[in-house]
Amino acid sequence: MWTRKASFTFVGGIALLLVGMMISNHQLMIFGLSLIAFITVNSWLAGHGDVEVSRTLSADNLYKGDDLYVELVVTNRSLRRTQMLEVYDNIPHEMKLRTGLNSMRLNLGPGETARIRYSIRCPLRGHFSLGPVSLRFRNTFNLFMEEMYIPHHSDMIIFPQVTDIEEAYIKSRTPKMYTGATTLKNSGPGTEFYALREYVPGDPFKMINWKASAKTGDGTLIVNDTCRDAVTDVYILLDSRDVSRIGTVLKNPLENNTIAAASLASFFLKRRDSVAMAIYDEKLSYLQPDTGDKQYFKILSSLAGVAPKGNMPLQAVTNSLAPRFSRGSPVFILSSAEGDGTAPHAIRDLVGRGHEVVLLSPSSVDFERLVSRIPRMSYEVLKIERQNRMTALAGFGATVIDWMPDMELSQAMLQARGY
Amino acid sequence: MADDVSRQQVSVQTLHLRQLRKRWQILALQVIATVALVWMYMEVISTYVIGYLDHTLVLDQLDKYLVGETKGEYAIPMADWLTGLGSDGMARVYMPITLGVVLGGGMALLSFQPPQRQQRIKFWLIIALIGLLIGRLLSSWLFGMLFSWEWRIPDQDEFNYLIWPISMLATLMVMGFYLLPVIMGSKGIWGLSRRGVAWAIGFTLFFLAIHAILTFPIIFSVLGSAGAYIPQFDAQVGEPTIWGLITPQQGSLILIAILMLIFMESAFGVIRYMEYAFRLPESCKKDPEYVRQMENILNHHLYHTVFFLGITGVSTMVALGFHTILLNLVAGMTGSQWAHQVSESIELQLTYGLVISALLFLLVVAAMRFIVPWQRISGFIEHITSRQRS
Amino acid sequence: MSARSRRIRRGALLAGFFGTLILLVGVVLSSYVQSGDSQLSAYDDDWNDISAFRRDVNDMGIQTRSVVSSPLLLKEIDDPGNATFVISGVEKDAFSMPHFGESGFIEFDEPDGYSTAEIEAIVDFYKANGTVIVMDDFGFSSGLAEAFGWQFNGNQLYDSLYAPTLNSSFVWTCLQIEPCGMSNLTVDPATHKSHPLWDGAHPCALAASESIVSEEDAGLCAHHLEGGMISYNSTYQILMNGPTILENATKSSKLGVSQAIASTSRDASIDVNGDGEVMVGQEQNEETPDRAASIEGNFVVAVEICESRCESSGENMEGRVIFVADGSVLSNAMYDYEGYNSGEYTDGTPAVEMPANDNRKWALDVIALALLTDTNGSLEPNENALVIFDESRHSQNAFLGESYNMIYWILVYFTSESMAMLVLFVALFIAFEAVVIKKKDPEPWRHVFSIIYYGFGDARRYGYYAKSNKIKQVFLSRVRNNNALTREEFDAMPATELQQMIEDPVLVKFVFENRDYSLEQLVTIVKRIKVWGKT
Repeated sequence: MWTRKASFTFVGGIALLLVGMMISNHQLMIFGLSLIAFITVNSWLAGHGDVEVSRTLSADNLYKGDDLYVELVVTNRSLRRTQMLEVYDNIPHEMKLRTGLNSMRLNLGPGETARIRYSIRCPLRGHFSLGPVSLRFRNTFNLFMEEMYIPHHSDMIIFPQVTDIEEAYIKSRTPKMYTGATTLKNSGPGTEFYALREYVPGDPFKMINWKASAKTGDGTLIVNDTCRDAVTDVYILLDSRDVSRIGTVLKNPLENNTIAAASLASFFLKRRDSVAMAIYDEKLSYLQPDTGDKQYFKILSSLAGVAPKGNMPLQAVTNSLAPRFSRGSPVFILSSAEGDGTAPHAIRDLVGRGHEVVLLSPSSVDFERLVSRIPRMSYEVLKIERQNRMTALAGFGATVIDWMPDMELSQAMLQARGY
Repeated sequence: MADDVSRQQVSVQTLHLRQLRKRWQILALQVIATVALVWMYMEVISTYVIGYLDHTLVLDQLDKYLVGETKGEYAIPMADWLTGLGSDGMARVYMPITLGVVLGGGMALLSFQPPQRQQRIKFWLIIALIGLLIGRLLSSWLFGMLFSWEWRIPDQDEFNYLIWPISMLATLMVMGFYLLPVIMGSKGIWGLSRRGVAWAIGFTLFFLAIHAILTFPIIFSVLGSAGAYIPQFDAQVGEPTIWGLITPQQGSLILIAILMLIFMESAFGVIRYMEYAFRLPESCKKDPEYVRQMENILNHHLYHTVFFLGITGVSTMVALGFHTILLNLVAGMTGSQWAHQVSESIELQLTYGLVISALLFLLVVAAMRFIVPWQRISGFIEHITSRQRS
Repeated sequence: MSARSRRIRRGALLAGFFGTLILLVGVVLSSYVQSGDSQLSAYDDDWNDISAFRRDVNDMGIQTRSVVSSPLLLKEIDDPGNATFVISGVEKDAFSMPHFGESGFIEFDEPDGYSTAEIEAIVDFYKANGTVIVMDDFGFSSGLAEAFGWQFNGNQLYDSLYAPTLNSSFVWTCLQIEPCGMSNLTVDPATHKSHPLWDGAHPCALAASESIVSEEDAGLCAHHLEGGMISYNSTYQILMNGPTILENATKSSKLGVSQAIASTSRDASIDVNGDGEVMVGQEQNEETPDRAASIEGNFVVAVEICESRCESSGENMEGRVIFVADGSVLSNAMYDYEGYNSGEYTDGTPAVEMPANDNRKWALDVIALALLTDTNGSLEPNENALVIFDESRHSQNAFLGESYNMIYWILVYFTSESMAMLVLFVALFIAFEAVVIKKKDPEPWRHVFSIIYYGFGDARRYGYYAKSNKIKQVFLSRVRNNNALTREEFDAMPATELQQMIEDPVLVKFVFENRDYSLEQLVTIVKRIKVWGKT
């Protein structure tokens, strides 16, 4: 492609040539001819973008707010010089350059390599991709230029931030019946011996207690039953409905809820509890209760991809999931409790089933206030209405936490109250 | 994980403007641009101005006027060796050009000073200028009044003190006008000012355009005796004496065009690269990768300036002389009748044929891109030489 | 519509557009590019070319030049007074645009052959003391002739004054007022008379008495050299091949004075319908469509036009145009009849010999007359002397040559003709504008960190929440919640009980009175609601 300069030079050359002929002026003609010759000769070496690129990231997954270090290696494997080559590594606009630059102007000889190193900060959770690598090559005098890109991508997941809530949790007035890895001595998968029982089809052979089986004398197989290791199933219900986007991109109920969900999951999984998570927006996604790093990764990955959409009522979620919840296990509902008339009934049902319900509710009115100038009186009325709602929910037996936008999660946990 | 990716390093050479300005490639480009500018100016002067309406003629008129009006008491205040008065041919412009380059360089140097110092220097320059203009008049007049202790307007002798500074200013203005491309161009090259370079090119092109308009037959005929001060080029092509391709006049015109391109590309190139370096983040300025690539870019700009602009000049020359080759070629292909009539054609004498064959030649040159793999050839040579070096 | 079908449709449209454009341009250009057998060219050596004349001119030390694009270039000739422009046959018409007329308006009427601008260039050349020889018969010269008050008839002339050894197409004429007569098979020399304009005024006639030693000294009059003397004789017996006649044009011209210098005999006729037979009568009708000199008077076959006086020569020489009603009058076969008869221009000796004629003498005398203007009595040509042959209206042997000439023509036309120059200026301007508007270099790449701080909220409800009814509803909900009542219990509650629950008289009034509240009042009420129940 011709650049603007080349087009001007060429049209100017032709114009000078013709005008020179019109007025029989040699200088203009020769000047025009020189300009055309300049373009013509320079068209011999236009450069190329036939380079190999590879990108290395310091991490594939990282937490929101962390820095990522990137190295892009550009190698000219051809036997031609690239001429003036601009390399630009496309990074999502949600990421902020911290050091270095994601582009470089270079002129690589045959076989030559250049390294572009930079670091970026990721202020938003989500699934992101670095790339493609854009190339723009031109000749020295900027007369001809071509653009192309190399579809080289590096995917990564930015998890929500995880805050430490242990201290806050202990100090808070949320019920402590499930604190600590207290063995409930229920039969189930685990390592600790619980009792001997008869073999039932499906039991793994390694569980058979051969000595005890021999002692029965009648050929009955006896197996070692184990105590269930995960002492508590913790259920987290995350509200990802469209209404949860109220606020800014960085501060909104959903962002707060994802931080809370990740932190709670981290806290309980560290204690070897079993954590289940349900995300409801236009549909319901449910992660079965499980323990360990794998579950933690699953939860964080799910949280990274959460986006506000849909309008599923909480009661539909509880109706669907409550029968599967372990009896008496705590349920954390992370929701602004806006625009959902079923929330009181759902909470009443859960409480009725013996679950300890904690409602962590980002105050959407205050989030809205970050982006919208709400008239003072309307704001006050909205707040009173929200207080009414919170009071009603607390009245159904839930522990309600009203979470203000400028409040850390640990701080919010501390102000758990019954309304 | 984070340790797997190496961090940006720090090299001794950096891309800070203070260092980059002293790099030999940048200096070489600036010197090339300056030489091209001066050479182009001299070529324009020798082709269009010298002997017709050069600055010495104007200064001479001014001198005569001053001598006549003051009965020989005053003349142009600048020495002849500075103005070129009394010299012949191009000797008239050597010293003024040197002064122009020095002045342009001085302006560039001034532009690099901190704003406060710049302001101070400009202030003192203005004071000096005012002092030069009316200093003697004021001191003589004020002291005269002081000693005689009477209030009066300055007398004629005191007013005569104004003649020298005004004539000095007039001389400087005449020379400044003639040397505008050199002054602005030098300032542009060394002061990294796009505007300066554009002024130099614009002024030269403006001059050529004015010349073209004035020598247009209809307008030239209106000029009457004033036309004697404007050089006219023959509309018909003369005998080619340079390599059998072009006439000396054509050679001179090609040289002006090529030198203008060299000046423009080198000066703008330096500014472009410096601007890029300036905009780099601090960490990249120190990064050896960026430093190395900048070196590559600058080296190749130098190679290309020499090679491509040289080839451009040569191909323009060949293009202008191509009609003879083309006619021989066509004569062989189509018989002698057509070739004969074309070779005798007025069109060829009047450059029409010349232009057509020149464009045809340039078309062939452009098509060579598809025939000769220049990029591969140059890359292969580079590959071989770099292997030998290593 | 899918992207694919859109692409196909766009491609078809583009192909259609460019196809039509190429067709149009092709049609226009095809009128110019007509390669075929070259004839009457000064640079070809066939019997029907005029190379012998050019050679003679060259041999006399005169530069020859050709015009292969357009006579517009005559404007560029430095010294027209020392130049002669030779038009021998105008074989083709050329494309031309409308032009600016004398009134300043655009005129669309363009003559055949030469465009108005080209005719102007030729007229200017003539006015600048240049000499123009126009030899044509059935070609496109009428436009040029009309500028001088004449026109070519375009029908073939037959005359009893012809060369019977050849055929009736070869017609004799003499450059004199009265036509010459026949004797047996040739022109009777006794009827020869002197040239009506040149006799005694021609530079060779003026030098006739001087003794000339060598052919070089005889210069442009060398063809009159006999025994060391120039023996100039102003009788010219011209042989023409397939001529037509010249007639007064309907438009009168003020470009000079005309003198018919050659005419036909009384027996001449014109084959108007071109059937090869001459049928004439007192009236021109379908049965007798042809024309006869016996009825209309002698037909004119050659004319000389000068600005004021054609009898002048030397330093007083004015511009001069000579029209001859035969394009081949200088063809090698007739001009160099000796060479033709010896087989120089044909394969072998021709079966029938070409009779001797004065065509060469006349042509060289025209050159001598035209170029011996400021030589101070010398017969040597001036160093600027120039003879220009118009080859722009001749077909070329090769398509390549024709195409090359066409490029010349385009260049010359668009850089010399005022309307075409205007069009070119506009085109250049548009090209520049197109570059300025369309050609945009891509922006430099730069990473922009941008998290759109968009906000989501529902501003429409803010007004609703400021209404007294909504405030009342919110307050009642608060009362109900604080007292742990169900909706049904609360609805069933008597008003007095509710008043007791609320306690605050302002709020009681607010709940039970339906009236409009000012903003200040509402603010007060909301403040009270806020603190209600906290104590």
